[in-house]
Amino acid sequence: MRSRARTAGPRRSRTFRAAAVAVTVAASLSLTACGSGSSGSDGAGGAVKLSFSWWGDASRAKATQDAIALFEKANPGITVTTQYATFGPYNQKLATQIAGGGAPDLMQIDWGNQSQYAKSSTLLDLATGSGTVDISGLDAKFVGSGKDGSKQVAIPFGQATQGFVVNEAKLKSLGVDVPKAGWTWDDLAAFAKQVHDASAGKVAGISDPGSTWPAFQSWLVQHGKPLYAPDGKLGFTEADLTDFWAFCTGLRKSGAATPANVTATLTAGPAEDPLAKGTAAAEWDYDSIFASHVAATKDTLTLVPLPTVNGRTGMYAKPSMLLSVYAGSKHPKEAAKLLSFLVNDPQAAGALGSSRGMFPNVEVRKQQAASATGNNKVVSDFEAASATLLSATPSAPPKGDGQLLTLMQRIYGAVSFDQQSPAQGAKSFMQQAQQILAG
Amino acid sequence: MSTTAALGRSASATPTPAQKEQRTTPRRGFADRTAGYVFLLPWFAGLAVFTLGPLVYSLYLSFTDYNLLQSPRWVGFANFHQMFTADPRFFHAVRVTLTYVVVVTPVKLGLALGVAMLLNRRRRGIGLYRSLFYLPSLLGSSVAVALVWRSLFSQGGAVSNGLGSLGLPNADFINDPTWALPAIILLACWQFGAPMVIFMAGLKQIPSELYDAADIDGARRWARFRHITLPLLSPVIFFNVLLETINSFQAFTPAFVISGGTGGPADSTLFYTLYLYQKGFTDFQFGYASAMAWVLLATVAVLTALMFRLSRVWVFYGDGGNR
Repeated sequence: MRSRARTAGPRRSRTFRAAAVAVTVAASLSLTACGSGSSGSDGAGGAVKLSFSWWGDASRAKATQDAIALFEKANPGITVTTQYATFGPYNQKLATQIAGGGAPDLMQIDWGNQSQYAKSSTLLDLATGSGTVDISGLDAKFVGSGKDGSKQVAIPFGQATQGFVVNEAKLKSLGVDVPKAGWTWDDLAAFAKQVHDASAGKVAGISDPGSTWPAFQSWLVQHGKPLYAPDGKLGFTEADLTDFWAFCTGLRKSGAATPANVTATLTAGPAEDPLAKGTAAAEWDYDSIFASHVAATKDTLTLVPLPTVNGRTGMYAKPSMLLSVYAGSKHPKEAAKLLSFLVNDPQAAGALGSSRGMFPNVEVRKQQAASATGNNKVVSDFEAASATLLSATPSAPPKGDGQLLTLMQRIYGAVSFDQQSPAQGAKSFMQQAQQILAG
Repeated sequence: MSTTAALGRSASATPTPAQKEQRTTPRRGFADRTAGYVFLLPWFAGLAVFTLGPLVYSLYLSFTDYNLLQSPRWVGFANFHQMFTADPRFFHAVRVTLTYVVVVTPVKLGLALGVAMLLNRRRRGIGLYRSLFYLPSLLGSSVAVALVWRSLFSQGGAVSNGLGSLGLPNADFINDPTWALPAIILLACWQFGAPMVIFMAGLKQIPSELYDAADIDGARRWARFRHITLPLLSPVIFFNVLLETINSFQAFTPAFVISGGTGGPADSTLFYTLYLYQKGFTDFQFGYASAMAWVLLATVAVLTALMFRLSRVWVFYGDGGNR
């Protein structure tokens, strides 16, 4: 034993050197070699196999899988395999799949990515050819948001509207009234402070909206400004962002909005956010996420329109998610058939409920609203009540929108932890945002 | 000493017949070697396809602008130039990573050596203790442990509540920029089992008569550690330092899982590797990400070379020479 240790000296030093080289190489490889996996869908043996992926939580997944089961029942030759993930990881994976040539036949895409994917010809034109989708029953203006130039590259899968998701049960137990449509930001500040005081500081009135990119968009629209100018550059100034963040910072410092460490959990999604944990009584979100919020808590939730500035809510009908058929799909016809089913069929509407906001087919949407119950009724009532409050839908966001969303989270993170003032944060946001949009 | 020499001689004498046979039949040796290489072929193919190929491709990508969807566009040194002149987050990530490396490597190895020395004795049930201390390493950099860590150290978690019940402020460590990185460092230090096992193997090889001799000379515990254990263990220490340093530079999983991929809160856990990942898979700047990977590779390679150079001074190999 002992003597081997000694005689092995020189040999070991060589082993060390070899090990060091090997380890060094491995160090770089594990970083650079994150390859893309591709999965081919094959329809050998007569039966057609489709793949379909989307982002969302478990409750949306269940609704979608129920709808697909109905489709499979009506089309015995077709089976559909599904995949879902939360928003961030989903988009990362989808981009890799597309680059590797292994994207799913049918995929849910974000409005912010649409033009980028369309320009690299990965999305099938759904208006002509084998992959034609019946869009006659859909609101023409709304379907237009899925166009890239003259090509219909995507179909909106749902219509979402912005609002505040409010924990009605919690407010009741605290003796605070649910805010009413037409409220102002001052009302919101007073309401939030009231919740904070009534709960002895345990519950904040709202989740701090300072890190939420689309919440800033509604604030801007209320002030008569767009998020993006028609040329795709920023439509607001440093002063606008400073104002917004200064307002949020005021709420946060008074305890009306969630503290920085709680706000940071907003990125984790509805299942783990302050509303689900009971640390905030209200939260800015789309009504298409309402069902997911409901699934994450035992309390009764409701929807309230956004606060107003000079009567403007800044709310608009957003194509919340869009469906596209992969241009490289082996079964474009069947994929388009599934897409048609998901946006037109009353059965699909029944299964999907409000899991993606309002159903695309207008006739079916009306029937659905008439017979809705539970969460679906809350959402459809909210949509009906908000219809007159809406601004025009802006044009599709430019490439880079997704990066600005995370930039907002990051810089407001620094602001909320008091590492930067709202003005300093706004300055560095503008610099980095312009860089991103230019690149 | 004489036993060593004798054993050394006998060790070198043992393979002689085999060597002789090889020398007398060179053709068979050639055939054997060819067969060996043929058997190795699958491995070489794998190396070429899965290792060298991507490696070379990523070197090419580091000089391009590549967003996965459009084909790469050659930009020369623009990525490197931007990295070193116009990217504050890059330097921030470097700072976070260096902090981690500088703290984790010595603390983890110190713990590993200390516990290895405690466990380096014959007692009943010592095997159980060794396994227990090794256990966290088995869980390694797994996602599950990072998730557990996140729930332990975030608001309402066991650690926060425990501190709270002791009357201490129950902080939300994971979502506080001051404490998020220390929480990850703690996780890394806790997993000291792998270097501990290597240390134990090294300790076992130190001849006990050296300690006996030192005892007779009246050496105290510290002197024995300083003059016997440390020098004789130095090759093993060197190996562990090298390995842990390189490992620490590559740390990714805990930071990714605990921060939910953001490097937050407020970029406090933005490790170099995590920033690299974000550049690639969130911002879709694969050229830039590849450039970052190569900068990391070059840094680690230079550091490794430096450590080897330095090791000549302090690493003691039993045969007298250090090469």
